[in-house]
Amino acid sequence: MLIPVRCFTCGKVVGNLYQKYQQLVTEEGMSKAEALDKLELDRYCCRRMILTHVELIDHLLMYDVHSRRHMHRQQNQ
Amino acid sequence: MRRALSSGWPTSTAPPLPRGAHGDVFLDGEWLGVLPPNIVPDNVVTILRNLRRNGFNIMAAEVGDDERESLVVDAEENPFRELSISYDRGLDEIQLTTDEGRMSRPLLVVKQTHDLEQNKTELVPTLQRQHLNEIKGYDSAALGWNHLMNEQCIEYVDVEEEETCLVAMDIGALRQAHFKGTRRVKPGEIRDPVPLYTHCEIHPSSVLGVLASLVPFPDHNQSPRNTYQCAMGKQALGIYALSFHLRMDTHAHLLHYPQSPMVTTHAMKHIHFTEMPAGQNVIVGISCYSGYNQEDSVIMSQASVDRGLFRTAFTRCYRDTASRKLNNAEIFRRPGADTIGRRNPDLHLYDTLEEDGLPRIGAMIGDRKPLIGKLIPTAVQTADSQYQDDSTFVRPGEAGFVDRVVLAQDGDGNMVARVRIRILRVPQVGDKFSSRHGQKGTCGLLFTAADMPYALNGIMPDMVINPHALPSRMTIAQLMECLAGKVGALAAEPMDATPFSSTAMTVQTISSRLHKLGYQRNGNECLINGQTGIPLQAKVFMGPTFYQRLKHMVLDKVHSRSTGPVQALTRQPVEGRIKSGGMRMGEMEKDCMVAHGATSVLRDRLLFHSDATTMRVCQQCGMPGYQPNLHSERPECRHCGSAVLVAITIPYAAKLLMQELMGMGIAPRIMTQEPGCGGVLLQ
Repeated sequence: MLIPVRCFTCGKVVGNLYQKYQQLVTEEGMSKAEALDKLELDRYCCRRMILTHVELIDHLLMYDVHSRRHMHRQQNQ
Repeated sequence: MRRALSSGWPTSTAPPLPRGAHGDVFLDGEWLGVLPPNIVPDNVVTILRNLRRNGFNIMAAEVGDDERESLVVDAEENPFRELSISYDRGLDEIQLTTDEGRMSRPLLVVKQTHDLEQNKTELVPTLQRQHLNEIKGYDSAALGWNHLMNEQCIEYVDVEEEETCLVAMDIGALRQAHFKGTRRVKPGEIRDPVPLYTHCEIHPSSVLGVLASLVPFPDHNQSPRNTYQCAMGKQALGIYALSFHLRMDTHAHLLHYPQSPMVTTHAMKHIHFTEMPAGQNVIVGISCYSGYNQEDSVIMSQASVDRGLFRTAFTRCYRDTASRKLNNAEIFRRPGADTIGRRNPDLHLYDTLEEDGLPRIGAMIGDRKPLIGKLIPTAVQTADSQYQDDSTFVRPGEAGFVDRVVLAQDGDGNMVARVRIRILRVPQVGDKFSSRHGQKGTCGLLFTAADMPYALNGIMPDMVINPHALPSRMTIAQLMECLAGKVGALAAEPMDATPFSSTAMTVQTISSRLHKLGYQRNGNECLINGQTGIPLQAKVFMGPTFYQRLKHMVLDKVHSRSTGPVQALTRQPVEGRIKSGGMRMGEMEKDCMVAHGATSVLRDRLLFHSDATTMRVCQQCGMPGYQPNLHSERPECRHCGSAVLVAITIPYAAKLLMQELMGMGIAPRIMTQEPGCGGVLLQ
């Protein structure tokens, strides 16, 4: 779902780094390893938090009938 | 397609042959006809196979090659694409299947080629490098796949047909088959060798099913462990559906932060397991460390759990229907003072409900508290009570927050209320976890961060498993997964653990990569004892391993009872945790006590803690005595008139049996010899 705030293992705050990481990989064309190094995620515990995270929230929102209905209404106006 | 098959069938002009005379043909299990005597079933099967692969009309088999070319249909439009053709030699039957819902899977088609010059017969897949080059030009994978089907490189084979196919595991097996085949051909003689293979697997790992495909390096595990994982993979908690918040499943678990495994297989991609995984990558250390991980338990870090490791939400749905009958309709409403039959006279019990009998979304509802208020009309309507309480209560031990309330109408016009309750399940001692290698264990202790061992770079394992779990079970793949996971996390690339593949994923290559990344090559790390501050004597093997939280949790199993509800008929304690029933002292447990000679324990368990009853029997005749009032009236045996009754303590079930026997005209007598010897003399 959403990225956990802290690395489960060592407690480093990683929740704020996920978006930056995605930006580095998709927009700046960095490799995953380079991006993680840039974000100073040295330990393998923090690296796996970012690397293996599954961002499901966007998929879940597709099923959010209420907000979709709201959006639909806005589009019609 | 069925029509095409049954009408286009070549029928003999000769009088129809009786069923079973020669080569019966069945279509979807239905007898279609008999082959004419001059037709060889094998040829029919070959023609049909070509039909499926090419898609040309069955009658066109006789037309010339150039004409045939024009009749070839695109695989997408080929109605015979999913036809299954199998010839059972023993029964001399051709089975054609077109049903929907059959399992079928793609295989590479293998052809025989004859080299006349070298006098060699070869088995080669139709798929050649040129085909692979051709499909590179296509925009989508689906178009490329279609092309391969058009070129007869691939066909779908169902389970029934698979029985009649000879499938090679890989191309290497085909090459060896060719060697065996040529040996049978004498020089100067062209003879068809027995085709050793008709098909070839696309990849050897495609013989594995959905669950087995989730195991990394299964070719390095003792086989029963892979089997165990296949059973446990179904119990792993993840996110079971993206629409879970709309669904009203009777009960469901949701993992808060699923992670895709660091070490994956090819098949996982196709199953989309990496997109909706059921588990997390846990940093696992293999060490005894205090011994709270003995006998398949695991030590977990309280700190990791606090940060959200393996947190799940549990939801349960309750439903009730207010049936709408004429004159006496049931209604959803909060029971009030005028409602009879309330479970609790205190009206505050029903404060969890709103006026409409439904709870407020977000409200915390304790266990055994009312959840759906329903009133049913009383049998006899009086002025002060017209309704009787028939509310639904939360199951014991399953308190939670109201997540979703749905009020709807069913087909008969009755109102249906559904309420979903949600509660957080933080991992606790007794919860069950498992790696992907059949290594399951329950949490034995949650160590605080201060007590956990830690490495020099600040990492402390999320989980410590006992090394004794490994030697006898030989799950080498778990160690390989751990090692590969460490490399994968450091090198930031997914590690491939597909079985039977020729990739260079050996322990040597993984460990040398780890070494290059600046870590000890065997994955060992020097840990410091958190409790003493002294380095552990042995290096500890540590790294990320994919673990699953299994759905068995102590919270659903914990149970105790001193006294409680009893069955109405036998007065023995009721059965079952949910009814707060008793622990059964079964036949085998009884045998144990007998073997130990612990008769007092037996008497205690089977009589006094079960259904002990005091009753009176006549000392004279042994029949049950009668004494309506203990103090005022004299005891009297209604059977023989004696006034000497004896009080005995027996199981209520025994009393019941005696009375049933009496109902059958049998007189069971309890003869008490003298007072003090098992009975108390009354008066």
